[in-house]
Amino acid sequence: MLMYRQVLQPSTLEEAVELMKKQKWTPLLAGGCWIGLGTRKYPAVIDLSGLNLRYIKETESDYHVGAMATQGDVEQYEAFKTLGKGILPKAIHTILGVQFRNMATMGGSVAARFGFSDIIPSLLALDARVRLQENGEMSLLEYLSFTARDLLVEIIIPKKEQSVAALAFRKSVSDFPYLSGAICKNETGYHIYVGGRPARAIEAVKAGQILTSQGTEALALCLDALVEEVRFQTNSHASAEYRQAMAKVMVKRLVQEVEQWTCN
Amino acid sequence: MDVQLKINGKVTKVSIEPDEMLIKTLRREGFYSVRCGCDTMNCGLCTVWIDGDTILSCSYPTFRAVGHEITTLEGLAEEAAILGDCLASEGADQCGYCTTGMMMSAMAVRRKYENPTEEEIRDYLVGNLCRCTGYESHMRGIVKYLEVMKSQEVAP
Amino acid sequence: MKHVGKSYKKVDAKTILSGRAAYTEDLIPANALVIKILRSPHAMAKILDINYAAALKIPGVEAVFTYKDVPQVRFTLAGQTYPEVSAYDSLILDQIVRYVGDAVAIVVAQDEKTALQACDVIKVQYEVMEPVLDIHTAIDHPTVVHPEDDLIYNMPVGGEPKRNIACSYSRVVGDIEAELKACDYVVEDTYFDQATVQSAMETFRTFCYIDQFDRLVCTSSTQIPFHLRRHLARALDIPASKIRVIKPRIGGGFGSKQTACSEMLCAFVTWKLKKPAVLIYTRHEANNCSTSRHAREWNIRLGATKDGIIQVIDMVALSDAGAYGTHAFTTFTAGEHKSIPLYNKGKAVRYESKIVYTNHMAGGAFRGYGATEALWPLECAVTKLAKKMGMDEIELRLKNLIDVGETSLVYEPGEVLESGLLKEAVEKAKQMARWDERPHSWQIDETHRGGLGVALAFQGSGVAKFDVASVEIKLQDDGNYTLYTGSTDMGTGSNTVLMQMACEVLGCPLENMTCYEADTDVVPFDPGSYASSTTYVTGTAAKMAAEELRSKIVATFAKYLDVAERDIEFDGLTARTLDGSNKTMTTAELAPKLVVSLGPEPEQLVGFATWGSHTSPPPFMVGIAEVSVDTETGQVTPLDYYAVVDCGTIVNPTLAKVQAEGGIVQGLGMALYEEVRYSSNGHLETNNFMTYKIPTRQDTGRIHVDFVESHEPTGAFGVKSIGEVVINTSCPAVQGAILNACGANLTTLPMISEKVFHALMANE
Repeated sequence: MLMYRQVLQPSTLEEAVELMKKQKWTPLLAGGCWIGLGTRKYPAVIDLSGLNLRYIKETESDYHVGAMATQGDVEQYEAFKTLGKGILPKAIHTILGVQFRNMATMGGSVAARFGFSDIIPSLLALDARVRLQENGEMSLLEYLSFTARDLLVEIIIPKKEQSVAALAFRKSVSDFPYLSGAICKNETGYHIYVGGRPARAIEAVKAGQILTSQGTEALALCLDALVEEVRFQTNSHASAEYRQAMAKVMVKRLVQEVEQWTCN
Repeated sequence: MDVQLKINGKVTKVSIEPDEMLIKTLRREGFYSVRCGCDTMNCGLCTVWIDGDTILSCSYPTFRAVGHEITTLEGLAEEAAILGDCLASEGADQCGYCTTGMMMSAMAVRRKYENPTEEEIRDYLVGNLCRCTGYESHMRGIVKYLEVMKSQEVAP
Repeated sequence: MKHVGKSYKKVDAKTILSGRAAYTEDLIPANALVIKILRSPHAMAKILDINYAAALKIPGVEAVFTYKDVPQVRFTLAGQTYPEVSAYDSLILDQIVRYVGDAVAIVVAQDEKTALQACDVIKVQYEVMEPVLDIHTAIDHPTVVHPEDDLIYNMPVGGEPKRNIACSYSRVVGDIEAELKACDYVVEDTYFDQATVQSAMETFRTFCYIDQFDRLVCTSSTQIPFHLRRHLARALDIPASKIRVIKPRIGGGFGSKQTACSEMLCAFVTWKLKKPAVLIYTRHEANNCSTSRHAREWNIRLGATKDGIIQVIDMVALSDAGAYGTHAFTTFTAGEHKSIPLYNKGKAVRYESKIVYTNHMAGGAFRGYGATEALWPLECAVTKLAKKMGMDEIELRLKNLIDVGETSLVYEPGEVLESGLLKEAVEKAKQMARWDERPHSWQIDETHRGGLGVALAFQGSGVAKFDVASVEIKLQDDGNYTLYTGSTDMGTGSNTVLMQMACEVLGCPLENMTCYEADTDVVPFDPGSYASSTTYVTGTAAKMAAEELRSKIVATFAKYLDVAERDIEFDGLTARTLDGSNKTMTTAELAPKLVVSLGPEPEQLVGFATWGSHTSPPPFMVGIAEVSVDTETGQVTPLDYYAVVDCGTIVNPTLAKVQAEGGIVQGLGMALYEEVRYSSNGHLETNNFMTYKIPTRQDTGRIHVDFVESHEPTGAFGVKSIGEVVINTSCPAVQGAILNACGANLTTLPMISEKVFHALMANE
């Protein structure tokens, strides 16, 4: 149950960041879907609902998803249903249920950078960027290891021609994934992303390079490199050994799917 | 905080805590159809509509509902009675505790899809858990209700 | 028949689907104090000191109670008839806490926030002991979970609490080893079932107040109002006549509410402060601080001779009672009667368990009540035996299946199966699943294999020679009827079913009867709804009460209409004379006359009956699961479930069908999704719906249910029961389907993908 004494309601991005700097430990209230778990009582929260960040805009080169756009907003946005064969709404659709997705925000999902995120691997495959209020634009991949406290303002998804696919394994329909991943094949070659390790998604660079340089006949080598390069751990959802074995299955299936694209 | 909420089309003044969740406010105002079944946003029993979208009132801060339209089962009483009757004819109203929240999702699915398939219904309602029925009777009842609602639209 | 066999809507449908106040939380008295429980962070500890001075200083905090404030009378929370078989090993608050989540202090405040605030500032000093967290090391563990000398057993149950043995049971018939040696085929394996949690959607909640006669009134989400009243009397050390228990509409039970939970704590507060108070459990509390199914490790051996007869059934278990012994003995013994008799042609049986105290959440009653746990190893082993013998697993079962008129090694002398359409049910299920028309193992696509698996199950109907129900039916002064019952409709529709049975006898429509249930001041004694007893035991009492009332009404009409009784035709509302005088009179006309002294003999007419059975006729179920296994990941997807149930005469077909569908899906949860996981220091990690995954509507596949209707001679209209049997086939049927699909032999629950994957790898 989410409990706090005070709700601070900035009305501009600058105000919001000021508050964040002044109160280093005060959490941000976006969708409230994660912060509400547990029994912690916060002295205050910084409410983001007054910042006009619930939007999805289209420009010539990109889609801009405001941080307070809900997962549901993105799931239902027409253009995303075809971008990358609908990889993004498909990934979002696996999350819990309609009601939850009508509340959880894209900003909250991305900024939290959870290992179990169903969304981040797909955004990585789409070559997404983020724009932070203080630190400007950076690739999502870079943001995953960015540590400073800043306000994520929007997620930028380029309108790009690339073959992408995403997959997640879970033990039951409404559970967290015990492994997630995505693949992108574009002009720079293959890019393989693995998340839910349980740690957050990373790019399996070497594995991707093997496919890029040797083609899909080298899949076996690619999978061997994958489990050399990517670290897995044991937690309540799965053991490290099982994750490792499943990572091979998952990437094999991702390659198969993305190859189908490019052959058609 | 003193705020004005629009619940089922009626404006009500309420006095709330900043961290009060919508379910608490609604139940205090007598809307007992809204129930709490868990504390991790998994069960869907607390489902209400904000501007026609289903949300989980257990985790929705009431202050955010200001300026929006809140709909509970009580505000859809006529249609809910038809849906309720269809569910009851299938025995799908077992303990009933999950059903009112599920009905909010079922009535929303009718507004979202022209002719939802069973797969689409099941998918749309996946966030509404039930421990009594095994879900099959829910489907039978909802399919009946959609037929009844469709036939009502056609009738002059 | 007029009403029996009709699919009436439940009589409370409109109310529970509308938002009208009907459940406990809707009825809380204004200004009720709010209770929160401070709970132990340790699995086993002794409280050395509780300092709550800071808590009392918070404005709005009314009181804090500790183990020092409560009566020192041990009791059991288990809902079972007195004298209870479960040990009296509980106190309202104990100085020793026995699981992470056990109650440490009761905090009472004006509102929830203040109560939680107060909990935060209470300082407790514990002497932490090494907890008992493994059933294998529980016996003679240096830590004794129940060291108290005032633990009471009402009867010998093989308990040795100082050794952490809560109870033990052993039944041996014949010579196991000799008979096994004579067998041509023997299978042996070890199976484990988890302490799954009922997870009714409405958690435990209670509110109490003092009434106008200085009595404690306890309104609670319970299945057992009368047992609860008795437990409260003992725990609070006050006469039961000072207590009234009321059960309103409740949001499910499945056995969890067959054990008292929030009531003791709330009642103590109101009795002490003489003010209304309410206690509502969060989901975490409900799934962590109540009672679950018992986890059991089964060692099973089956032996069969060449002719296909199962000669030996040897089942030895090590069971986890958890921190308290609620239902610990009876769940084990109940399982014997509902599993082993399925295959009654053999020579030797052993059914045995030590049930040990540990520092886990206590076990209690969960739908199936031991039968579910026993059928898991038994049905899996029978399938394994069939494979070893190269025989179809249904064919093997049919060869050994008990028939009507036959007995079992574990039946009482003279006890036989009195009714049942078992073979017919199997035949029907086979047809539904097309068992004989297709392979039971097949390739679906590149990465998936399909499989069919089967399981049979018994349960019981009521507790034989023990539980007894009374029903009262009054003809009210307006000519309508009221049926009074202490049974408890937890969503099953039992109120409706009882009315159908009573109205069948009286003849009137259901609209002319009201069912009043579960108020200990008003209704006659009933154990409550558990043990699948309401239709069979309470229903038969209802039929008898209706018969008594009907004969009184006919006799009274005869007096008023001045004809012989045999010349009265009565349809429940109107009496007609058959002697040619063509007189009629309605109950609406008669009833007012009966309550003034102007008529022949004023007498409000009441029918009353008490009934219990010498037997517990078993409902029977066949379950065939069809699954898809992803052979690369091990993920199991249920596709279809085909089930046939023989519950005797079906009173309300629609409600019976929903019972079956609901039970099957609960079983699928136990089979595939519901993990019970403790941390290394005894914290239950799976105590909420984020980590404890009950099935969603996309986890189930399609459920297909049909019935065969046998006629049980001892039950009203031929009824047996359905409430529990329906959960019993899912686990072994799915296990058999996985085995057929891909050869993976799973022996522990739930059968998650990683386990299937390992079994597949092990086979390679």
